Amino acid sequence: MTSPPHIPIERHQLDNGLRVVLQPDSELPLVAINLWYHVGSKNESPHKTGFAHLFEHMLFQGSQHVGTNDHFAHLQKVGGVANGSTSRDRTNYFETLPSNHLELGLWLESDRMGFLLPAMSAEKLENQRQVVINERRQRVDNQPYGLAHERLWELLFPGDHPYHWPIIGYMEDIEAATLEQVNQFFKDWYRPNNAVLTLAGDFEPAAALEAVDRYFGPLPGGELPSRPRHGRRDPVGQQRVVLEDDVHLPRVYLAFPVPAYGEPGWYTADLLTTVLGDGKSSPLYDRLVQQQQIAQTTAAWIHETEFAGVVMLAATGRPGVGAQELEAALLEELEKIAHQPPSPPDMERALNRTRTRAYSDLQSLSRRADLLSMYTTYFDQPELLGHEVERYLDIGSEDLRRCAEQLLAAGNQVVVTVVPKGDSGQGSAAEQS
Amino acid sequence: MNSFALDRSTPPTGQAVHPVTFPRPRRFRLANGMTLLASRSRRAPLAAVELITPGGSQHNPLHRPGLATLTAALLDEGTEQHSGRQIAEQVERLGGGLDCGALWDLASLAIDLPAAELLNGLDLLAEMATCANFPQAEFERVRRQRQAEILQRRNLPGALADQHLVAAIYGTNSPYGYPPIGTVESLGALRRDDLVRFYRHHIGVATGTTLIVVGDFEPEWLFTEVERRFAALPERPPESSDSAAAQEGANGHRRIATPAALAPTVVIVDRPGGAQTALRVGHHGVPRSHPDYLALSVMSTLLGGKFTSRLNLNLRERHGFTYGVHSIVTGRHGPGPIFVTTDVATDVAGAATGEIFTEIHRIRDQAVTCQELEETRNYLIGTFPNVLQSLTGIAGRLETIAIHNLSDDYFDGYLATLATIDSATIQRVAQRHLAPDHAVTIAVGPADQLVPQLETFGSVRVVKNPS
Repeated sequence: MTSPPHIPIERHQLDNGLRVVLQPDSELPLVAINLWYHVGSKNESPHKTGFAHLFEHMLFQGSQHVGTNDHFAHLQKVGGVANGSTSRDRTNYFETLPSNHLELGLWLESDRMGFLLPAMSAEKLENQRQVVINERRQRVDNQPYGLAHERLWELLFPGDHPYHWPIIGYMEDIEAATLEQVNQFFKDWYRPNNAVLTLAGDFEPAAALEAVDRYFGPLPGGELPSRPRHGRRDPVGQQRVVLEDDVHLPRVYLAFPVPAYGEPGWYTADLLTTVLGDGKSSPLYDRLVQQQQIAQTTAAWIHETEFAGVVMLAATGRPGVGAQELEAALLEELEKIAHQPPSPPDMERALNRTRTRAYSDLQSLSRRADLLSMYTTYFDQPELLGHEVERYLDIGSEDLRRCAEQLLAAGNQVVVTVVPKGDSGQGSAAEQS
Repeated sequence: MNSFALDRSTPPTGQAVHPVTFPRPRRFRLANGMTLLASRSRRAPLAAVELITPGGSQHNPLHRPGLATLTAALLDEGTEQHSGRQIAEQVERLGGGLDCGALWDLASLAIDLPAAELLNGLDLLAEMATCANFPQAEFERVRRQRQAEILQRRNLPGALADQHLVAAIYGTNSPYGYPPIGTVESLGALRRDDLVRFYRHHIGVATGTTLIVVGDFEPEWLFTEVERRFAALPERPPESSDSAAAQEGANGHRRIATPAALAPTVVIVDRPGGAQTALRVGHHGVPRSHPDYLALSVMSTLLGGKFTSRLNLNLRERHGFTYGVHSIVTGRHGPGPIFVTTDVATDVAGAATGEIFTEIHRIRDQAVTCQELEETRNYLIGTFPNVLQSLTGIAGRLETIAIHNLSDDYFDGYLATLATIDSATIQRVAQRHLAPDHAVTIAVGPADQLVPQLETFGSVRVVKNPS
């Protein structure tokens, strides 16, 4: 077995509360900058959804010293690539630049952290509102099976639980967001003391830290709103829904709440999804796709969510296969493991695939920086980089059996089925429960 | 430190450039004519291994679209020594992954796995390259799976748009006119023998085949291990009167003719109720070997190949028509398409198409500014090292060298060559190779709303979506 790599990591904190993680690596003349703000869709409220994601878009529209259309222009003219993403728990911004342009990245990130609002306008909001509306249409409303994920989370976390609503928000909330509301959201959450800045790549640590302090040091920290209540999901019993969509083939999703990311139970559940569905020799693929030939594709995965994790299993049916048959087959594979622990070859496959993926992840500076930001934001443990994989090594087959048993016994699963239009068997209604 | 002294009003200038060199591969030739290209890297304790063979979709007989991709998909589904299940178990238990597929110019077998397991990986690739045996049951199962996938694509506006774009440009007399996955009918007409023949002619041959290995391996040792395992690969395909084989050039490439120029045409694929419309505007391009190719791809980056491209700043940032728009110059052995691709709100489809044509005309009619070109060049130079971060990224560059017969130092010279492309060159290649008066426009959305918006761009044909 290969020994874990030695990865030099430094952790610092500025007076204003900004946490700074440095991971020097001079093999290539590149530097990855990564910034996590600890705010996501879970910090929104019902009827004001989609703000975190809309705000992520706004952050690329310039700030006091950066022209409206200049953020990407500044980066791309030196060969930088950049993007951002919003999740339920956090918003991240990242760029990879030739390392001689490190300060350009620091300038852009610190300007939008500290000087965004003077450059904010109703016109900018309108512009990005249209882009987000287009994005919602393209990726959710107009996309086959696109609405299934929304329904899964709504059913898993009902009521006003912070995980209930979609990250992109509901169309009516996107359309109704006002400039005042959006600006307040920024003031509340976009603070240095709510952020982690990570650099990975070609730089000299002392000089890099001095540059970070020069750009970010003057920005004031501030009091943060209270965090949403720790959203343990109240058991609501099994939830089911059937959706009709513009699709040819049925698809079934099963979703189960599991312990939060970082807890030992989360890693067990993750390894269970790898045993179940990773690779052509995994039970889901081998039984449903190759032997029974009832599924076109199968998948099993877990969400790295902060309040509560979620395991999902999915199968897309072959033509002529009923959704109930798919659902029964997915459950059967889970039940088999609940009754009999996975074999040594299956455990070996799952652990080796997990390890290969972990090593592969470390190659990209941007991915490394994102992992460091994540480990620091959630756990204040950047040193997990390259070592998180060790948390899987102590998991035994009996642990997986017990995990599968618990998933099935809790009766908390959600089942979302998507069928071709007209196939739900209850007339022309769009949705039945 | 007086932090108020920081002047934020202008961006900081860069420090001195840290140069990067492309890791030049070692090249070896086996006795049977196969090539080994090896690049030594310690980025990860892994190995990226790819067998690149000539068996691409360009070799499909006209009435058999989908043959190459189906044959490639079956390479890991059984050999004379192991079943598909055994192959999958073996690779995955080692922590590795297998990926077999075909593009237009090649069929590839790729394996990623821990470095310590390299020799097992080579054994497996050699086995699949020499004695894959296409079990009847797996052939039928995978064929059915792909036919179902084709059905699913009828609900994907983007896939429909791409399919109709190439059909309009290339027609039925070129392999490029058909989707690489094939059609339900063409797959249904295939027999196992067709796959076996394709494999023996185009995949399981040493001539024109390259093995790429990226990882921390001593090159001479690697060559010995590769030679031992791949010596059994036959040098040439068996003698055949296959008419497709007669169409090959000396280097095994299928000669794909440049299609006739089109009159301005609009094809609307009727998809009622779509709030978004998938749009394509394009025509045929040039082979990658054309001397203008590099300048054309620089032009395309400026026009629609980055966030700050002319098309994106126009359609997304200025007008809010779309979430994203791109221009693509394909680089194949034959003259693949040049096209613009986007999804727009249906009610602005006409306006968006108008802006696309405006930008195409603009880049032909006026030379791009030095500043724009400098920025595009710097973007390409600056982003160049990004792929070198991973073993598979390096392998991808070697794949380009292999399949297009480029020199091993091609990427060293690439950055220097970029510096020689000036505004006059960009305008010249734009005028020569962008043809707005011979473009086809494809729109997938509600025909009743699209016809009035798009009829100004050419003669309109409305197609019913077979779903």
